[in-house]
Amino acid sequence: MDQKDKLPPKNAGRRGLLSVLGWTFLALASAGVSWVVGRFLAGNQNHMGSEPSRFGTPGDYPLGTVTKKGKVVLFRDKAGFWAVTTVCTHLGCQPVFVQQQNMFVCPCHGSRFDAEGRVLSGPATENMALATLRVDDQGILVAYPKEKVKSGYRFTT
Amino acid sequence: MKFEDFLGHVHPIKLSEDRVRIGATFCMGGSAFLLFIILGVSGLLLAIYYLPTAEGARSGIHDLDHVIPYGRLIRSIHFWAGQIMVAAVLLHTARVVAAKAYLPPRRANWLVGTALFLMTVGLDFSGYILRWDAQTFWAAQIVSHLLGEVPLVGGGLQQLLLGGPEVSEIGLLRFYVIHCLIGPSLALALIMYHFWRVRRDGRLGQSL
Repeated sequence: MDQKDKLPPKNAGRRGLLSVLGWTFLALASAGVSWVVGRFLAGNQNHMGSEPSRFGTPGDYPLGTVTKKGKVVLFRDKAGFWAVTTVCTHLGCQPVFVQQQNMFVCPCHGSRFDAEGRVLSGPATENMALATLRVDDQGILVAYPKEKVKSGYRFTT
Repeated sequence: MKFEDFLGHVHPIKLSEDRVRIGATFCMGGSAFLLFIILGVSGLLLAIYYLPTAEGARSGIHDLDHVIPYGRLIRSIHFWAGQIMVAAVLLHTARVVAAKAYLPPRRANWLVGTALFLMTVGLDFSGYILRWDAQTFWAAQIVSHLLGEVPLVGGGLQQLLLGGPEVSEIGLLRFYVIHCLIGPSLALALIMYHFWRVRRDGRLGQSL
C-alpha cells in the first residue's frame, strides 16, 4: 500500500453512482432472465397434450368397446359414449386402462381409477376429467379434453 | 472471495496495453466464444422440450413455437446465435489469414483453429438436421451421400453417421448425440487448448 491508495479517489462520487447503476442494471437483467427461464421451464399446462382426439363414426364403436386415441380413452355403454382424459391428477402421468380389472392404473405411483375416471385408490385424490364429445360435420366422433365434464356424462347420437 | 477478485484474476496480473485494446476487428474469436456460451445455455433449455424422434421433433418444435412461454424466443436465440457464430468464426479466420498468423510460432494453433472451424460448421449442420422436416430430411440425405463418395472409407462413414443404409430415426438420434454431446464437449476442450496456446504463443494483435 503506497500513499496514493490511502487518499480518497478523485471521482469518488461519480464512481459510486456508476457502481450503483451497474449493479442495479445487473440485478434487473438477472431478474428478467430468471423470469423468462422460469416461465419457459414451467411450460404451459393448459395446452400441452390437450389436442382434440378424432375417432371414427359412432357406429364403429359397439357396446362395451374401449378405444384409445392420443390421451383420450373412449367408452360406450347402453346409455351412450364417454371419454376419459388420461392425465393422472397426482403428478400428471398417463394411467393405462386394464380391461380385465375394468380400471385405470397409473404406472408412476399406482393410483387407480374406475372406467369413468373416479378415484378408487391414491395417491391421487381427484377424479380424472372426462372430455366433451361431439360429432363433427363429417360424422366423426371428436373428444375435446380442454372442455372438461364431470363423471356421469354420456354422449348420445 | 469477492466477485471483483474473481474478475481481476480472469486475466493475468500484468497485460500489455495492446492486449486490452479493442481493435478494428472486434475480437471475432472472443465473440465466437461468447456465442458458444449463449448456444450452450439456450441449447440446454431447448433440450428440455425436444425429443430426437420423428414425432418428438415435430411436436417439440410445435410446442416451443406455439405453446411454451418464451419458447420461440429461446429457439430464435439459439438459431441466430448459431448463424452469427459461423460468421464470427469465418471472420476470425479471415483476420488470422490477413495477419499471416498461421506462420510459426502460431502454426499449431492455426491447425487447432481449423479443426474448430470445421466443428462449428458441423454443429451448425447437425443442429439444422434436428428440425427433421422435409427440408432437413433431404439435407441429411444429400450430406450423407456426399460422405459416401469419400474414397475407400466413404461407405463406412455413411454407415456410421446414419446407423443404416438410409436416413431414418436411428440417424436422427446420431445427429442429436453429435449436436448435443460429442460436438460441444470436443469443441469446448479444443477451445480451452486454443486459448492456452494464444497465451503461450502470443496474441494475434501483437506484432509478429
